[in-house]
This record gives sequence, structure tokens and C-alpha cells, in this order.
Amino acid sequence: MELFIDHVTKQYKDKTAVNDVTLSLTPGIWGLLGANGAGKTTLMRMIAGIQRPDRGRICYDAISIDVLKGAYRSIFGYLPQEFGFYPEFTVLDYLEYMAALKGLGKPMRSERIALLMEQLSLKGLERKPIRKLSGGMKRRVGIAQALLNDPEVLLLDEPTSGLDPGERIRFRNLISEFAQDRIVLISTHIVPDVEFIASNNIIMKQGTVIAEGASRELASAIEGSVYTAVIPAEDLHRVEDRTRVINLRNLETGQVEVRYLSEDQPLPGSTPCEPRLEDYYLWLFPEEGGEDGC
Amino acid sequence: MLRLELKKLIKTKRIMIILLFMMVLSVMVSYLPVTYERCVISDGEGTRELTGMAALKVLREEDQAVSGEVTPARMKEALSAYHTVLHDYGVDSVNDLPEGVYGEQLRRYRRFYHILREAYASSDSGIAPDLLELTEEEMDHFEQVRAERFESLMEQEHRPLAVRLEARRMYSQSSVPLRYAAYFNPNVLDYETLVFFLVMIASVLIAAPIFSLDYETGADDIQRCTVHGMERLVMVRCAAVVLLVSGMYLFAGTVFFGMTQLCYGREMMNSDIQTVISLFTCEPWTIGELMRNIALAGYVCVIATTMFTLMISSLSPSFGSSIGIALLGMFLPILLDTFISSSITDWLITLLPSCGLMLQKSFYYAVYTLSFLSAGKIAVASERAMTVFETIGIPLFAMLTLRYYRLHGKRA
Repeated sequence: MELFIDHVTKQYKDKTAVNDVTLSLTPGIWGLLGANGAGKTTLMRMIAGIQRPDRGRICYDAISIDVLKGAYRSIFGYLPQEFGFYPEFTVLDYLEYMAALKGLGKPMRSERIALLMEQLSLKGLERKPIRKLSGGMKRRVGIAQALLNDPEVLLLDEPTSGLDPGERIRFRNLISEFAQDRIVLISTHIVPDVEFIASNNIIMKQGTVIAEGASRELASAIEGSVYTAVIPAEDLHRVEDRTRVINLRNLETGQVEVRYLSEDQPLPGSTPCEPRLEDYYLWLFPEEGGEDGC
Repeated sequence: MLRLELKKLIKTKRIMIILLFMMVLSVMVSYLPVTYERCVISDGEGTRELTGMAALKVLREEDQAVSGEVTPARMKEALSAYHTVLHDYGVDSVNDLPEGVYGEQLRRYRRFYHILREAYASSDSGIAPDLLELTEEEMDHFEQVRAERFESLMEQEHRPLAVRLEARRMYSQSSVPLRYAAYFNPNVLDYETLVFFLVMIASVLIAAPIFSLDYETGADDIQRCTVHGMERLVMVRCAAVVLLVSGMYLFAGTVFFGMTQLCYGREMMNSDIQTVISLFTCEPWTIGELMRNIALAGYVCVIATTMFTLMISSLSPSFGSSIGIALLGMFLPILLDTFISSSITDWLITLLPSCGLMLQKSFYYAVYTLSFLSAGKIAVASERAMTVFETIGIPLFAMLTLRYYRLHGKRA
């Protein structure tokens, strides 16, 4: 099972959204990381067959998806970044509608819907109109529809946006379990969502793949450049000027614990750390900044 | 899948409001012609004007006395009554008769007088004769006069030869003698067109967002990635809209026909249209057949317009643009007729899917105004041409809808 993206390019009027991207996706979870505007969504939409590449082609098991057409769509699940529901539909109506579109027979349909409602903590919401659901609940309904046909290829574009921390953990567990012998591509800019579950990561910048590999493998590129240090709160600005702060935590003592990147001399009293994918990501995208208060 | 698609449509608040509004409106418009019925009667309580159902009852009873074939003998009877009454009162016009006399003695013959004025109009000027100048002997040649007048009318209107030949062929099929069965107000036919015109507007409002709103909200992105998200989805979606619009049309039609028959009776349907609308309408139909044909042609027109709107919806990136373009497309026949009037425009208007119900360019008006399309030696009645074009438009627009839906996004 292989999804092969072969020298794919997509150009909008004055911008190259995806530039000559070649990837070979095999079973497992793939994290697709990049800042906003990096070309992740365009790449996802081309893999989903919604947009056609200007150059290059996308093949599933060596056959172009343009040739496979319905056969490809039948083994495929997709959750776009932004998507519309029918507000008057209940959760059950919507999932039944999507199941019918995915060609699921009636008995199979009920069975799959019941299972996914359970797995995504949607039980009890069957009769609730979608317009009355919270953002996180809507997202879960979106994930449920993507999984309805038990797809071989699953594309999830920012699947965790709007989910609370508990839901994000449940989502990660569900996807890890689901990904056996399947290709799962998760586009996100929230690195921890894929860091520990993705077998491989693809990092995009300005339409190009700038790095590809397992989390540990990628992070090793900044081996010896990640440190933690405890500093007085008043020194924080000075430290931020000298280093690239990834994370900081206020201590009860009035001091601040910082995790930072430094390729030169570390701050006095710093302890070297094992780099993580998030460190590497922030090293590549300094404009993204770190998370406060962790 | 069709059941779920229909469920989705019917559950949409916007569509529920449109359906409810249409139900109320079709009942109101169907009854409206009755409210315009008026007649003056004189009885023991004096002279007074009746309106609505009361007037209709009197008019129907009066006309019952003169129903039947429009033969020279009946014409003579009507003309004789006219001459006698005006002579007895020593006046030259019915307007000068004492109050109540016209209603009591002559009103029942009014359709005959109308027919006589049309048949015996001047072949040069087209001016209707004064009935006092007509003689009963002239009535013996009524059918011959009718045929001659038809020819002179074609001449007066400078109709092309092909049109004259086609019109003559059609007119020769009208009944001889004509039949006048019962009272009927031809304005009802305007309201029939109006009811179906309203259904057409509702169908455009229902169909316009079908694809474009999903493009706008992103719902389409998920659907088109499913196994049935292409051809089947488009077909099912079109079928669901057509079913919903058909149901709405059936309801409006049933209400209209039910109300009309309840108020005007069934007998009026047997009158030849030449005795009710105009002596020189070409189609050899009865009122019942005309009403049925307006309804059938109207249905074809509504479905063609719905399919046209679905095509626009599949092309448009947003709800706003699809509804704007679809409404503009629907009203295009009137706009073209208003701003660019030529024989080429006539062809163009007839080609448009909404033409059949577009009020003064509609099927009924084409019948009423003897509208023909011609090109060289070919001439065809506009009402027939528009229905043929609309029928062709239905599969054509369906295919284009599918094509544009498939292309959506891929062109970006």
C-alpha cells in the first residue's frame, strides 16, 4: 500500500502553493507540519482529489487517482480544515447521509455509526441538531464521518482544532489504534498532536518539503542545542534576546524555568536536554514562537 | 440516498418557509379571479351590484341559457334581441339603456356580441362594426365570414407567408361550429400562469443554493471525496430537487384546478377557446384543453428552469452569486423583450427555459397573441416551440450541471 506524490506542483495566480513535492506515503501515521500558508492544505486537497495539480501526479499503488476515481474515493476518508454541516440535520442524520454517500449498506451503516459514536464520545447526541453542538463536538462529528467507511487512506486537516486537552488525548489514542495497516496523514501546526504517534513527519515551508523523517530522527538535527535553565523573572527579556525560548514555566520561587535553543554558548547553569520534534519545528519556524506557561 | 437527500431538503428552514409560503400563496391566487367577478342586477330589491361568488352565480345561470353550438341561428337570435331591445328603448347604444335592462335582456348574449364584432370587423381597418348595422341575413354566412376575416387579419398584421400558412393550417382545425359551454372569465388563465410563475420563483429559490452553498461552507469538500460523491450525488440531488418542485407544482395545480372548477363549474371546460378568449386564436383547443396544456407546458418550464438554476448553482462559488445569476436568468425573457425587441430576440426569448411562464412572453400569451417564430419557409407557433426547447433544455442542463460540478475546484 503506497500513496505516491510524484513531483506535484500547484500554482495560484502569483503564488506557488506547492512546489515540486515528491513523497511516498506508506502505512502508518504521517504528520504534516508547517506554518500557516506553507501549502499543507493545498497538498491535502490535491491528495483528496478536490484540486488537480498543475504538474505531477498522485498515485495509489502505482495507479493515478485520476484513473482510479470512485475506486480511490471508496477507500478514502477526509476531514478538511473548515467544513460545513447542514445545521438542521441531527448528528445521526448527518452521519447516515455521509454513510450513504460512502456507499455503506443499511446494516453496516448503523453498526459503524454506533461504534464511532461510542469511540468519539458522541453517544447521547444522536438526535441533537448539529447547529447546537460546540466547536469541539462538531469536530468530533467530522472525524466520525471521515472514519465511517473504515478508510485505507485517511487525511485529517487540523483535526484537533477546537478539541479540549482530554479530547485531544482520546483522538490520538483512537488514531494510533486505527492506523494499523493504513495510511493516515495528519496536517497540523500543533506539534505535540503528532509527535508521539506519527511514525514519520513531513515539514513544509513555502510550498516545499524541507524535512522528512521520524520524530527522533528529525529532532536529532538539533542535538546539543536544547537546554533548560532556571533564571530570575527579570532576566527573561535578556534571555529571549540571546536565545530562542521554546517554553517557559513560572516557578513558585518567583523564578522562571526556560527551555531554549542555543547553537552557541548556553546560559550559565543550563542543563542540556534531549531534543523533541517541537524543538526542531520551532528551530525551523522561529516566527511560530513557543508555548507559554507549560 | 434519495430519501436522505429529500429529508435534508425538507428539514432546511429556508425551504420549509418557501413551501409554506407557496401553499398559502397558491390558495390565495387561485381564489383571486373570483373576487373580481362583478355584475349589476335588478330585482324586487332594486338595482345593485353583486361581486364575487354571488356575481359568478348570476353570470353562470345567465350563460346556461345560451350555451351550445355557435350556429347562425344562435347568432341571429342574439342579434335580433340586440336590435329589438335597442329599438324598443329608442337608443343607439347599450350604454343608453335604462338601468337593469342590459343585464336582464342582453347580458347573456355578450359572448355572441363579442364574436360578431371580431368576425365582422372591417378587413381594411380592423374596426369592429356597430351591431345595429349587421343584419340577420348576414349571419347565414358566419363561418365564411370568419374564415375570410382570419385571412384579412393575417394580411393586416403583415405576417410572413410561412406564418400565414401555418396559422391557417392550425385555424382550419378549430371546431365548426364553435361551442360555447358555460360562463368563464378568461382572466382566470392569467392567474393560472401566475400561480405556476410563483412556483417557478420558489423553485429557483430552492435550487439556487443546492451546490453553491456547499461550495461556500466547505460541505462539498467532504462529499466529493466519497464514492458516490460525483455522478450519483449530482443525479440524486437533482432528482430530489425535481421531486420537491414537482410536489409543489402538483399542490399548486391541484389547488388552482380545484378552486376554479368549484367556482366556475366543470362545464366551462368544454367551450372552444375561440368563443371565450378571441375568435382568432389558432390553437384548436377547448378551455379545458388550454388549461391542461398551460399546466403541462408550465411544468416543463418549471423543471427546465429548475435544471438551469441547478446548473448555475454548480458553476457559482457562492450562494449569493448563484441566486443572483439564476434570478437574472429567469427574468431574462422580460428584460430582453423590454430592451431589445427584434425577431432574433423573439427566437432567443423562446429558447430561454423560463419563457413558458414569463407572464407576457408566456405560453398562454403566445396562444392569445398568435405568436409565431419564423425563419424562411418555416413557421411554428411560439407556444409549441418554447415547450420543445424547454424539454430539450432539461437533459442538457442536467448534463452541464454534472460537468460543472466535476470541474469545480479543479479549475482553481
